[in-house]
Amino acid sequence: MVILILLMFLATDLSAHGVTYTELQGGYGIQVSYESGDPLEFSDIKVFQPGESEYEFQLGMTDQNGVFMFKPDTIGIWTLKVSDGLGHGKVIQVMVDGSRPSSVETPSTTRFQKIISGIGYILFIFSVWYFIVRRRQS
Amino acid sequence: MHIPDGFLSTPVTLGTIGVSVTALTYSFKKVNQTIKPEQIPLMGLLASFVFMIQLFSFPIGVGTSVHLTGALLLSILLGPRAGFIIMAVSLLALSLLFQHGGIFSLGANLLNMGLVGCFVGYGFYRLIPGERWSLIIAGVGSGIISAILCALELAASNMLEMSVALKTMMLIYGVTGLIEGTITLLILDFLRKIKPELLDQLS
Repeated sequence: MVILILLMFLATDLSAHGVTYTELQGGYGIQVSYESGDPLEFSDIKVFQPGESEYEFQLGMTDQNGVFMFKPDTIGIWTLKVSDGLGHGKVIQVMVDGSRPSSVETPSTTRFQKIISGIGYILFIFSVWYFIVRRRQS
Repeated sequence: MHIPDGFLSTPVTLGTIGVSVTALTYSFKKVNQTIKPEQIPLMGLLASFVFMIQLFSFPIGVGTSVHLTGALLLSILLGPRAGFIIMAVSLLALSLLFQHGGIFSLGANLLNMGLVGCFVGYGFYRLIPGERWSLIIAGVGSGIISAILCALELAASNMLEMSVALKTMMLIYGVTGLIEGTITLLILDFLRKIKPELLDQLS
């Protein structure tokens, strides 16, 4: 009888090594690319829960198309750090509020507008310097 | 190599800001004492040029894209101190408008691309005889040193494994430096052909 009970426990332990799975729907996906349009393929991603910056919730990698998906388990602003291992990367913040997760970042100006603005700011800085030097020397 | 905000730890961020601000203050003081007013608009134009070329990355065939920095060209045309000032203004604009590198990581980016690109690149250029070889070696050498610094900063911030990243970064940025050196050589040759007096005015 004792041997039989021991064997039952052993059988329970053995069955505990079996793996099952559940299919999930939803989640949040991103596709990361360089400004040239080329994907950040097989780039490291660290996922942090809201309010956490030290211990990762998940470590992952983009696929060959620069795509990464994860499943948040709590509401708040999640942080994703994507790095291509060469110093390029992006910190992405995702708002999860019970409905569909959405990116916190919303681009408002076009790339062309930003380039023109950038050149304008640069020329302004050097113009100010020019007038200061001119005034000092005259 | 434009490290975004959130990648570097606080000590690395503060340390790199300290080094870059010190170098920038020194460079500005020196340049401001000796600069001719007519050189400043040219600096503005070169800063716009550097701002543009850093925006355009190109694939190098190993699943990653790189961009030129323009630091070597600037330091040869205007000297390393003036080149460093131009790099600082361009990187600030890239960071503010494109998040091409973070605001807090500006110190690290300026150290990696500006300080190394201008001062170390210029050092190689001056020390090695023969313009063609010196430019190529300056491009490759400064690219590799930038890669080592960038890898150290990211590894110290627990963003990557030093042993894994260092070889890849040195190889990628060495190749980028080779392209940078070659393009700098082509631009200098072109300027000598069409407007040789411009090089004398700038230097």
